[in-house]
Amino acid sequence: MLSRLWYFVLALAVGAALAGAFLNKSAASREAEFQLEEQLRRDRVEAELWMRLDARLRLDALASIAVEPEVRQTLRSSSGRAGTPSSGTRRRLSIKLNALNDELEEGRGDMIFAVDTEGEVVATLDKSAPESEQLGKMPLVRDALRGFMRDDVWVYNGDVYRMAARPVFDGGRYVGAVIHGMKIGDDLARRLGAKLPNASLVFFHGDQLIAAHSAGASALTSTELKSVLPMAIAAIGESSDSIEVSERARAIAGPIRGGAAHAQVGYVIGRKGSTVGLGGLFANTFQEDVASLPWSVVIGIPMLLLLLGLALLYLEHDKGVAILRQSAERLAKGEQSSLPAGRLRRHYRKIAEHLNEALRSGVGFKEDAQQRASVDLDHILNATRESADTGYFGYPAAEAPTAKQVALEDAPPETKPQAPEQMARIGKPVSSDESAPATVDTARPQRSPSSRPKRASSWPNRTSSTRQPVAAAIRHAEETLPPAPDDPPTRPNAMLDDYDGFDEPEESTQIKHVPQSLLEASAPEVQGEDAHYREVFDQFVAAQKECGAPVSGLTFDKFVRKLHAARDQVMKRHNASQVRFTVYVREGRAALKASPVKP
Amino acid sequence: MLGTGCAAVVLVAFGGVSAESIEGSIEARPSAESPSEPDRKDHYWRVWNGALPERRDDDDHDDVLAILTGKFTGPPIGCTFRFRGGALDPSTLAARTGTQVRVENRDAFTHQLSVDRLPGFTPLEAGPGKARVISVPAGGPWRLGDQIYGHVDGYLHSIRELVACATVGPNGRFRFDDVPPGPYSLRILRGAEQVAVRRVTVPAGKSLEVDPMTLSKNGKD
Repeated sequence: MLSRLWYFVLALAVGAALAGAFLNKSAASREAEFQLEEQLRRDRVEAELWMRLDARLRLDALASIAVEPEVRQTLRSSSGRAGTPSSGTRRRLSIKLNALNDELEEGRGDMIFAVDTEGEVVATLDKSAPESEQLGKMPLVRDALRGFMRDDVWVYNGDVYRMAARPVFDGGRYVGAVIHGMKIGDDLARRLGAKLPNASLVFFHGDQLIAAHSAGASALTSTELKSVLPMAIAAIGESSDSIEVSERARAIAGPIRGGAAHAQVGYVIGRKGSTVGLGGLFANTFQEDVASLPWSVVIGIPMLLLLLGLALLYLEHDKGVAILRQSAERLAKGEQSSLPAGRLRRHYRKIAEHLNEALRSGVGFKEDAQQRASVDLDHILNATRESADTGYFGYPAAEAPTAKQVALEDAPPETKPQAPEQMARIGKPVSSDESAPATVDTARPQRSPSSRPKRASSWPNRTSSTRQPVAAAIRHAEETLPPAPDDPPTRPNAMLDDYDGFDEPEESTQIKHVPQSLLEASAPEVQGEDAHYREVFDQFVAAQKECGAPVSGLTFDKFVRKLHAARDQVMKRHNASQVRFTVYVREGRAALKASPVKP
Repeated sequence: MLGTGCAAVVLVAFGGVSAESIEGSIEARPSAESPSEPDRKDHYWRVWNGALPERRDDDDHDDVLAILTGKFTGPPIGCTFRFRGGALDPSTLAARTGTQVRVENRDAFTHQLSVDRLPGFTPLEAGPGKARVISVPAGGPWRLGDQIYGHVDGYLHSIRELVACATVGPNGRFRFDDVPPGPYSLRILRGAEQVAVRRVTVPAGKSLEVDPMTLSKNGKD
């Protein structure tokens, strides 16, 4: 019971461990998702900081153009009431702007405007710029003309530019501004992506990607990020939460910092999260965590529980099995007569008790009983004598070896001989009118169990009601006779063994005398049967004599009564019409073999 | 000589070629409200240059439009509008009810004009030199914008008896040219509101000089 309780506790522990593992997995998944979102927020902050720094660098780089004397002088000549400079002057300024732009190297602009105080474009990098172009109402230009250094992002004819503007002053007054723009492309995305390891990045304008960078094969692709652009655009104005790209991939969107944000220009940073399976629960475990485990508890408690379980298992099962095994060995060796039920507990005790009971009752294998064709004469004769304790010819039934012990072999029923005149039908039942011989057995009084001395034996006593042997051995004297040539070794044997008690008088046996006339009336079968019995008797006596066994107390009447009883048993058991007896010598003793003959 | 004089009389009587001009000016009361920064910060850096003090913006009155209304069946005079410098010039537009107004893009880059809540108008890109035409029903005013540039802002007014439009210069002055003689209402529009109105009569053969108009919140002069 305790071991079963232990199994129950063990199952509960395993279930709790599994539940804990799955709960931990769910928690770890949420934690991973939370960490992914946090990482994306940090990515966005990092991107903002990088772009802020980039804007500052562009503003600072633009100073080299704003302080250029030719730029200042040309703008001064164009501002205020000075009027518009000539086209030649503007062309020269364009050339100068190109040269100055080339000196910016990495900060080289894709477009540069030099505007006067009215916001009129005086020169650009494009020498064929329109004669009259105004930018004065653009917030970036207006702020620059007011004296501020400022950055912005423009959408200019379909392209998106990072803009920077610086005022230009000369002679103590503002004379214009220099506007610098760098187109947003893959180069910008690559430079920014380098600051965001393992993150993919795209810049978009409406539903179009204008720049993309992927961190590698394991990272999100620009196509995947493009698929979430509608959600990203919506998320820009609503919240700063990340959006789901796929099962374990998320992205976060941010508006571009500038006027172009109005035209839905922004960027999306995407990352793939780590897979959290049951095995992934330990993915974030450090060696320090492992080292800090209370190993004495982690190992000690399971070991204690294991020992406890083993002890319970031994007490409740292994111990009983060991006792049963040892007892069974001793039982097989004959060192003990029963199983020690008192030393066993619960089911093993019941098993032992049942086995003991079976041993006492002499239960054999039913299959063997059904398959055997020969008859345990000892059992038959004992049953005929209706004595539970005493075997045939004076042997106690309990001492007679069972069919299993003598290893009797099956003997198939003999076919009915074709020459009936040569076969005495000795097994034919006698009708009630002719039942004088049959009443010989049934009229025999029951022998007292104490009428014969019991032989010392380790076998438990068997009750006649439960006995199922089909053969019995009546062991003869020490002499050995060669087996009869017609005794096939494969046929079941019935041995009449130890003939020493045969000469005891049958004190309570009363045999009704059968009139000779009645016997004759039963002819010819009865006469043939009687002749067969006589023949068997003679053979048996001869065999006994050859074996050196005493035959002084063996009379034909007694012998016939035993054969009748055996005949009846065999006929009943095998539904045979006749029973033939043969005599042979086995192990130096005379023995009988009963073979049923099927009709 | 006589014939020429008769012809002139006839033309004036029919409101034809005889056209005069109206000049005037507005005086905007100093606003207690300083220009505020937009809610959305659209830049990383906006820092003073450290050398010269900030240059104050001229009050260019880009958001002010002067109009004349009265009995006149001809097409509105001077009511042309454009993108220039990166924004609407002026940012307040007016059109006669039931007619169309044309907004020309004189910038070197594309604009995408939008009219808020005006049925039948689809914001489309208009490249340099292109124009967008807006059919103006009764109602309004409607807010104007640009799908590309968020700083672009304006209003479109639907005026049933619109006669002429005039922009207001940085000095607050405006001028109507080629206006037929007759009685009119001179209105000043700023944004979504009418901030000044005055009844004027343009004499034949003379230019009309209108006294400075002070803009008020409720539109009364």
